[in-house]
Amino acid sequence: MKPLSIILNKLLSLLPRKSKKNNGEKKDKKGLAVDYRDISQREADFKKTPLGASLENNIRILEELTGGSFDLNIKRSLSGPKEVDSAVVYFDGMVEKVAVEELLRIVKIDTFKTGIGGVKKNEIYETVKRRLITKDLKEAEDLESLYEGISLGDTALLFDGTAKAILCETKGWDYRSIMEPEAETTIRGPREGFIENIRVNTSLIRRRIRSPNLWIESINIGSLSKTEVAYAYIKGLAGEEILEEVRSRLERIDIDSVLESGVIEEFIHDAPYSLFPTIFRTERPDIIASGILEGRVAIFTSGTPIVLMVPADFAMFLHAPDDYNELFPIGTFIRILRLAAFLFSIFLPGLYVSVINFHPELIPTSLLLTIQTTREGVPFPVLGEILLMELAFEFLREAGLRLPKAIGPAISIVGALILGEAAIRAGIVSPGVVIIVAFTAIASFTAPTFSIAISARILRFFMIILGGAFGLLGIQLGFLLMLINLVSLRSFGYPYMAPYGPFILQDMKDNIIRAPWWLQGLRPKLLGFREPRRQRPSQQARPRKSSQSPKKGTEGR
Amino acid sequence: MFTEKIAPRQLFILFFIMRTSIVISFLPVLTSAAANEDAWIAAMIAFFPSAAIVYIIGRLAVAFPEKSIVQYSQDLLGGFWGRLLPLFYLGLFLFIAGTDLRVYGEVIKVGFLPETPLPVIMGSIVLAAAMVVNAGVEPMGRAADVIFPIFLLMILGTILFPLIHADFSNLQPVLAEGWSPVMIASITPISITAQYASLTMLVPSVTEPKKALEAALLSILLSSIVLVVVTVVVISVIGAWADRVPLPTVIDVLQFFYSRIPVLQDYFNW
Repeated sequence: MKPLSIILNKLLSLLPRKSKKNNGEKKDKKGLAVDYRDISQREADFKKTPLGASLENNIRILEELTGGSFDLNIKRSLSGPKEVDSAVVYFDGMVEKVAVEELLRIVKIDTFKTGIGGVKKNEIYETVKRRLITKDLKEAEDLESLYEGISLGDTALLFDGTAKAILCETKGWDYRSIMEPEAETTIRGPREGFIENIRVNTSLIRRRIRSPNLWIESINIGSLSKTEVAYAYIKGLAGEEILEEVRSRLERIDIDSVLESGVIEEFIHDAPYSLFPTIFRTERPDIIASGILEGRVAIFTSGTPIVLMVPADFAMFLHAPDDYNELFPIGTFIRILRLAAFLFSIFLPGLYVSVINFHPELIPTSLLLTIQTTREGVPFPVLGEILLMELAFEFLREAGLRLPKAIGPAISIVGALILGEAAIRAGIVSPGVVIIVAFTAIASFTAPTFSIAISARILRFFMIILGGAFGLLGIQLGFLLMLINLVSLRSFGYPYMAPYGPFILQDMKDNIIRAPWWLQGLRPKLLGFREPRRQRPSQQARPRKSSQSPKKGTEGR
Repeated sequence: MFTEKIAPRQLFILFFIMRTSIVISFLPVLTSAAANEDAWIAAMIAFFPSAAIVYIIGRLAVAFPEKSIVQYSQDLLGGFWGRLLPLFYLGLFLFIAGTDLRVYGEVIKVGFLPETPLPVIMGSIVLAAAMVVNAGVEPMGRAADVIFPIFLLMILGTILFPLIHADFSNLQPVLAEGWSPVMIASITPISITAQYASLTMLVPSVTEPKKALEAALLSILLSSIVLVVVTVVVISVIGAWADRVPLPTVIDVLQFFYSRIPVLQDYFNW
């Protein structure tokens, strides 16, 4: 009974109303009644509107809903021998032109040709539905699902006399082609990167993991944006608790729009006040695939190439695909190098300040003399010098990021040559400080993920101030506070500092060192606990043993 | 109540770091004051009574694997005394924490920051300790895991680097004044074993309480070995007389901070 009353109300509201007109009801230029409902009211009203049997009416409510938006195309025609009123509805630019033309042809022409002369007025809907050849076919019985369909690039077919609509998949909007992500390049490794199209992104993973146990679930987040968010995992490998956690945290999000995965990240973040990222993010499908294969869950967001992955641990932010793709001694070497560089990028300027200020006895005398002579005439204390130069460098980096690519190099020349060289010449900063800042800058660029590099950048300033205020004691305090924060973090129930703390010996094969692939027999202990064995152990290739050597007589051939 | 758990391995590391840092930073001073060249013998002898104390404390704690001393003292001694006894322990923990804190502060002040006021130095470490206590037992165990390799490296460094200058004839004469000064000197390291009273608070948080005793005994064995080696190195490098200044090495900075965390943990656990 309720739907009927709503229809009646709707119909009534469409009729010209004298009383309202008398109240000063205005009409806009499209001839629609001026609507003073707020957005939440509009959304709520729209949700409960069913489709009616009258095509005329359906089109009216659709037009009223969208305000006759100029990209909404409604093609009216008469189809079938009985000349039933029909409409093809789609959003221009979201559909594939050819597919829509095909549909139009079916509705306008084919319905006459196929010899369905005897079809009654009500049957044309079913007939067309049965005869359609499209990729995907859905039905909409209310305005909400109809709109959802066309807003995703479907084309809706409506016929007079049927209170339903056929939704044909005709998705075909333009997207960027797959390119190598600029922020994460590798020497050796695939050159593919995620793009803004979520279907392409999931296909990049599906192509890498062809198991049917790669499950991808999706939900829509955002009351207005209705952004598709999908999470992929390997069923039976990813922990059910983690999955449940991901699911519930995603479902809990109540927001109007999700324009980037950063929004999702902040909503599902375990430690929102920590400087360290507890959610991994990347643009590289190979990293996501390897994470999924370890039992992690990847979260794709429509409209952004950045894919999130949980649970994350500290170590994975310092691992790069090159570690795995190069031979293992090289992988181990660059991995240790990177860890050292990361520590340098946090502590070096702070250490310099504290040692120069408080503990000059730790520096060899000749070096100390050199530093002191260059510092003569410098008007600032070391702390001021370092802060000045670090700040200058941060400005430079930010400026370089925002500038058009053509001007970027120019800025770096200005920064490196003019600022560095001139500042020393003018005697404002000492060369030692410039060396330290440059060294730190280089070290900080070795971090393979931007998210950990940026935490290091912020921590560096803390360490400089602590080192300048309390010397090595301050650095020690800073280190301790950082460590306490790190070990108390959890990412979706997974200890953030694993396998360093808690110490897990078996996972050390893939942390700090990178053991050869044939020794990586077990998955990470806390993640892959459901199926620890990854591969047959000890598959190292060896030359044939003498006992297995070819039989006598075949030697020397 | 004890939902957060630490592994026996982490318990071992916690106690090892706690004991080792405190003994090697000021015990060589105290023991050699009485025993001179024989301080290392005193350190060796001190092991046996210390281990016995740890065994007694540990055995009692393991006998009630689900409870802390506050709870089982009431089972053992009844209402009134059972409530009174933990107060003494509270005093003990406070006392140990206070001593450790003061020693830490003095070492830093003498060695590194002579002009910094003591409360600032001690305050910084109290801040860190308070933060880890606030974080809970589990992060404490994980922090121990992370720090352990660094700690070992530091100890190894302090033992190996001065070895070039070692002159083992400094160790002579052995037992020049007989056993009695050695025995007197060994009392201090034994008394410091009272730190292990925090075992009574930590055992309920261990995943396998039965192994907690083994972990504690292992920690005292290893830390005693470290103490003996360090004492030998210190005496052979700088001689017994120079032993009376605290070691102003970088290692102390790192070693010290960790020693009072379990104690404070106990203190806040009440």
